Amino acid sequence: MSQKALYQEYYGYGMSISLRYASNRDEASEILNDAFMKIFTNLKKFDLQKPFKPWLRKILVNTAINHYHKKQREIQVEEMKNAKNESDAEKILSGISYQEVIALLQKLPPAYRTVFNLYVIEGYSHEEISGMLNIATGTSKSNLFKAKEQLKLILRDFFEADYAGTR
Amino acid sequence: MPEHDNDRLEQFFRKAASKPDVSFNEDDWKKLEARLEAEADGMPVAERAVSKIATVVVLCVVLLFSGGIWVNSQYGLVSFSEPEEISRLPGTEDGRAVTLDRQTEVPENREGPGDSESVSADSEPVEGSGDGTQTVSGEDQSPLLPPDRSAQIALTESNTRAGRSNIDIFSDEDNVRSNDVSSMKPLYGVDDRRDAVLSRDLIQISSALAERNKQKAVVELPGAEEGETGEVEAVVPGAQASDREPVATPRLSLLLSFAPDFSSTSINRYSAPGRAFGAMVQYHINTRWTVSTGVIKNKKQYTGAGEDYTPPVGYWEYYTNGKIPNSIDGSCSILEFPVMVQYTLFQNGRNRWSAGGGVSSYLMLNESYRYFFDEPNPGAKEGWESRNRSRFLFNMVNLAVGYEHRIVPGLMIGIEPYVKIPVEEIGWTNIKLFSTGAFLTLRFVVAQKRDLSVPSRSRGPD
Repeated sequence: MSQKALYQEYYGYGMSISLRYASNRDEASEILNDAFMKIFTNLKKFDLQKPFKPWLRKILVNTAINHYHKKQREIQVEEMKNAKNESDAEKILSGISYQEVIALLQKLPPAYRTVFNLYVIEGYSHEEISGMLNIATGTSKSNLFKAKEQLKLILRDFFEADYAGTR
Repeated sequence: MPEHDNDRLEQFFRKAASKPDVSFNEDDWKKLEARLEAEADGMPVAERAVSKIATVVVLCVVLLFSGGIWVNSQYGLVSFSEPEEISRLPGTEDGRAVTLDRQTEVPENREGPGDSESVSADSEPVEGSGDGTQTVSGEDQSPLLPPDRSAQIALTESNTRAGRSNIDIFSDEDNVRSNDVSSMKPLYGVDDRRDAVLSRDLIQISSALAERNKQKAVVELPGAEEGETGEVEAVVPGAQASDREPVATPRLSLLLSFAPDFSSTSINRYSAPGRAFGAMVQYHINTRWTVSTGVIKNKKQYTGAGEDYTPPVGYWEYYTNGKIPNSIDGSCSILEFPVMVQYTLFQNGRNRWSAGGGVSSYLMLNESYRYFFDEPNPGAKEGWESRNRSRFLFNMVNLAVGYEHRIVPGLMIGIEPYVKIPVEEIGWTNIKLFSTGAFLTLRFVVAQKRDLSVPSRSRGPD
């Protein structure tokens, strides 16, 4: 299988993961491509007897965490600048597609989003997350709590807007 | 407005995440393809560089080994000598010595028992009898006595055929070759007392060898077949015990070394030592000069002020809140490929002192750093590490002095203090890494050159 064929085969799966960790589509694409770079340069290490998807997922999550570390300060600075405009974020007018769910997640600050993804979607414990992100377990729990609170507000806004739009 | 409790919220996002709806984007692939192509262009360059270095090292080793084997096969194993000390023998005038002509053949049973030694050349045995009899191969005539400082005893083939020994003693001023009889200027005339003179001079030679003691010469055992050499060592009459021993003159050696390595970013700041293991091949050009190469695996540990380290621009601003660490502990694994030249300063019996210099190339295998701040610096990175390989060609100057002691023939131990001075910054943080330490060395002689100055074995009467 050529590199492109492999990439194309698992693009959707990989992108669905990286989108949840990224702040936007470009960053998700960057995470995905970083992960595939690792895969293509280390393909020899892959045990062909094992399924490919879990390996890809593990690499993607690790790559996303690396991005989280790398971009943390930069993104936080940008978010502080854009904080007051958050309430003016695009209105989701009808239904809730996968892209909209991702868009909701991407409204979260990276620290909250990453913990939320690792805990809720990937199923890691707070102890594991604290090790992966180099944060205290309490911080992980706190970030998860705050992530959920913010998501509730975001969802409320979303559904209020939807309700207003359809009324 | 629906209310979402925590469980429903989690379920909502899990469900959404389990049904991804993402279509392929060609642009993303093109970006990745471009990176893969760039990587593909870059990787072979690095690999070629590594393989070039490895090839050069392997070629050097192979050439040196081949050369050593060739030298050995050409000249055989003649191992121990003190060439400068044998040139003057007791009983000769200042600046004179005695050599034995290669072509000499002395009739057998010429000497009476117990009072003489006889000499042969070209493995022609000459026998005496009694306790003073020995037979010396003339093959090594020149090593016995360097021609530039010698008078010579020439026993010509014609005289041999005539069944008589003929001794010609020549002045060294004529600088003649021992086998160039026609050009030799006699110092003493040839007379009827040749045989007696021969006997007397041979006794002097033997005595001189004995007094110099532990000089070894290839000998032929009385009664042995032509060309057969004896390996038995015996005491030459008059020999006395001495501390002075012959010195090996190897052509090729294998050197194994270990050192505690002290490295730092500045000359006066050192942390706990790292370590270095090396395997080197040494080629001995002559008794003074040696060249060597090989590979040394270094685990370097070092500490330095934050200012000594120069990571990529903007790194401190981005990762440590703009604060440069007060100190940084670093460690790295390096493959070092040194090319060294050594000069033997002094050699005495079993001991040898040398000084050397050279350059090294580094192949960085991995590196890691830990940052230390005097004040709390929340959010700052605590360190950095990488397994990316990088290479630095001839980036270090090496200076060393060495002492070596021969334990047994062909095996030496030694100590070699060294200092390595950077001429180029290395690593991700572009540091100038000084190193010092002392190699403990174990050297094996794997090929020896034929020494033309002293016979390799001697023996007295059985």
